Amino acid sequence: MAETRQAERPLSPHLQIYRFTITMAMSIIHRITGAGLYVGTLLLAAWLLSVAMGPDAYASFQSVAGSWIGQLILFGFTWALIHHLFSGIRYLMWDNIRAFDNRTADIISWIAAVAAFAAAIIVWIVAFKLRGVL
Amino acid sequence: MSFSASNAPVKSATRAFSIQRKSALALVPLALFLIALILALSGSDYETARHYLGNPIVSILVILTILATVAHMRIGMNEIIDDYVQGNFLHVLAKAANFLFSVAVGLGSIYAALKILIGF
Repeated sequence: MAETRQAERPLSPHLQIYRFTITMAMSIIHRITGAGLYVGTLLLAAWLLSVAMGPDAYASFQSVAGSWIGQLILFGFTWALIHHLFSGIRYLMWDNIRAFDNRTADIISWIAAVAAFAAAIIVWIVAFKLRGVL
Repeated sequence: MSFSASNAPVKSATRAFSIQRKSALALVPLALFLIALILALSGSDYETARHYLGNPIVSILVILTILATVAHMRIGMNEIIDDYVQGNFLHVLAKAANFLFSVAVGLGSIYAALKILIGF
């Protein structure tokens, strides 16, 4: 019987071969936050459905969302959304050949990463202020 | 849908590329709107939440956000599947599951938004 094994193909160097660069890290985080937000759309759907279904359903949603684990997940969702947004703006710029040299690409990547984290914190501080918790 | 040897849809790749960028562009303001909306309604009581989400302009923006999100997330997840899910059967299954999940989340959310708006 003839062998049906596939031909050995050369492998391209994988992650551990490369020197760390911020654009590489941001690329990985962009994918991870994207996948996280994919699952996180369930939260958005649950929120809207709970409002649509009435006060009891909404109270249930609020009690889960208001628990410490719920708040942690919601903070993660907020950060992931803002990070994916800021990070994604870089890709839109690069699609249009803007900020495309190595140095500028690095700079806007650092700005996106730091600004996203700062913005997520600020959003939550404002949210707590609005609720009178802070 | 036709598949290449690697199972990537061949005919729709350019279309997916284009939709991914258009939906991304639309989601720049829409995501900011969504964050502002969640911020305004975080911890609010039922009546307030219903009042805000029942506003026609808010409702339309929410629905646009959902539509752009569903288009964007499906293409993004397809890309992840292309990269990591090997084998003909698993690949097709993963893409079908992705499609169903995206449509279900989209329909559920839009149903809720319309129910709040019109109150059927």
